[in-house]
Amino acid sequence: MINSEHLATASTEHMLIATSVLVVSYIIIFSEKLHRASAALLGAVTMIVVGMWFGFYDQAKALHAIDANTMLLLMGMMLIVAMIRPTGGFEYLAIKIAKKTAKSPKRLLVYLCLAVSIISMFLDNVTTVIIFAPLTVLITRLLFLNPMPFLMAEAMLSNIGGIGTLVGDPPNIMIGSAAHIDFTRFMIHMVPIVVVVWCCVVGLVLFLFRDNLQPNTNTSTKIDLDEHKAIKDPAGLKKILFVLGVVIGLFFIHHHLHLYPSFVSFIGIALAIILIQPNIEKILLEVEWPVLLFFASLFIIVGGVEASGVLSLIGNQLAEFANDPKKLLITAIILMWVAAIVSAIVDNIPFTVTMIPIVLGLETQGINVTPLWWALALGVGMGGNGTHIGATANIICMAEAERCGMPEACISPKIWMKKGLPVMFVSLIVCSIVFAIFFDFFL
Amino acid sequence: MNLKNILIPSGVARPGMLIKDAFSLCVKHNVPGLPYIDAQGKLAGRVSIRHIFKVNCIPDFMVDHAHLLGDSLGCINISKEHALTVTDLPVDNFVINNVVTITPASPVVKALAVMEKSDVTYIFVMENEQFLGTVTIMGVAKLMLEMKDQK
Repeated sequence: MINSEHLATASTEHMLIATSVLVVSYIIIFSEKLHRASAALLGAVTMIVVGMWFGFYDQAKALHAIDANTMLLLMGMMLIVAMIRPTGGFEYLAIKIAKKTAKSPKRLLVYLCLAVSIISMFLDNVTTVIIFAPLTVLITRLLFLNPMPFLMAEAMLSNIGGIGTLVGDPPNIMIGSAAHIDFTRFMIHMVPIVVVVWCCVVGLVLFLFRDNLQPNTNTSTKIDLDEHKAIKDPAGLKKILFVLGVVIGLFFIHHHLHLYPSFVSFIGIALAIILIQPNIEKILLEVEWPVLLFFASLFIIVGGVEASGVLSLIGNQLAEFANDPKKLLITAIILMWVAAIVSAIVDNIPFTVTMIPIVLGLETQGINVTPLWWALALGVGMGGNGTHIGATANIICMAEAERCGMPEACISPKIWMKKGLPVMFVSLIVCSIVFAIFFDFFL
Repeated sequence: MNLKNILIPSGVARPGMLIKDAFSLCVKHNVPGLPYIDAQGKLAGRVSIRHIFKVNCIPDFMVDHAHLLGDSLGCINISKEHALTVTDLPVDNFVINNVVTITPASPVVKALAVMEKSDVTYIFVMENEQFLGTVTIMGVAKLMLEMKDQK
């Protein structure tokens, strides 16, 4: 009796300590007083030290908590992007689109956003926006248009496009890896809903920016840019596109071949090394190591909280509600909206990393958590559009608008919320309706 | 090879000096920039023609894609009015803090090495915190040609 009481007290103490470390770490991360990677690293080391001291966590458990598939897939895709970027292929595409649609600003916006969304489905959307945003400013300035609506639409629709596939967004990679969802299954479930949301958001963006998207009848629609000069290495571009094609092709069948998605990306890198013979040291410098360090540290922090038993406790409380099949839809929709609102205010990665073990805990109690995974992916993805800090792509487009030197193009946080919140809420409403109507499909 | 032979006594920029006056000094002495001497008489930075153009006249999105540009740039051409406005601004907001100096006793090869390391084509020669003049990459080239002629 005394022993079980002692254990319960120790367990509560462990939960309190682990939760405190997590909360303090997240406060430092979200306050941005320190670089998020530094803050997370400090949190991870603290969690291991206190865990070892109080006996609920250790180095082995911490290493085990890091999802290697997520880390290596992110790194692999970063390396592939690093090889595609210098070829100038994206620039070529943007100029071609602009020349075809120069006469209609609305058509220009839709086609640029379509390109950004499709690329963001398979490659990192931040890189896509980094390449497209300055070109968009140049193209719109040549056409005497305000670049603001184009930049905001590109950021928002690249965020939405990224939700469509397993590799489109880091939270998707984490969810797919934790829930063992393969690339094709992820795409089949998410692409239809993403397409519906995409169309609604494009319509909404065209309406919200209708005043800025009127064609200039008095000015030239000639875009004097030479797209052929964009491609610096045509042979290299063809080879890396072939590699990308192979990687995407293998993603579709990786589960049949029993290949991890991360290994598929490394097959692509190996193929690129043979075909292109890139300067590997230069390519490795392009990997966003702070992002990887941030993710690994978060896995360790949340691993400590999980080891303390807090997440099981939360899971037990939620299980009582979610156990009722009738309430599963409500649970999924609540999760989607909470995830979206949290992701609009703070970084969506810590939220996703924290939610994953909670949902996995529900699964061990016999609950069908499949709809919760989809809801989580949709929520953290759609929420990013609500505020300027909701997604990195938003911040890049804001910075680009400020750099262009046009006061009327500047995107203040207030302007972003004025346009972004309607986009976020419309997206969530559409997602909730589709989710509810086709709920059986998401089971 | 001695720096003294190629030293250009170019003058300095001081707080409140207008860009047009700084440009005038640069053009007169054929140097790409001037040392910025603060109110206490200390070297506090440099005023560079290239930096002033970069900040005031060329949008970043044009620099990023300069290789793609044609000749019909429509509304992003720098207007004559804008150019005239810029030259009436004080230099103080365009001072670059990163400034490299050498002493008159330094060998020419050191001047070249410091310029290469700092990615600049000119360097200020200072002695006892006093500005003596500017050495440019063109001055070094001139010195080399003179040496060859003497041979």
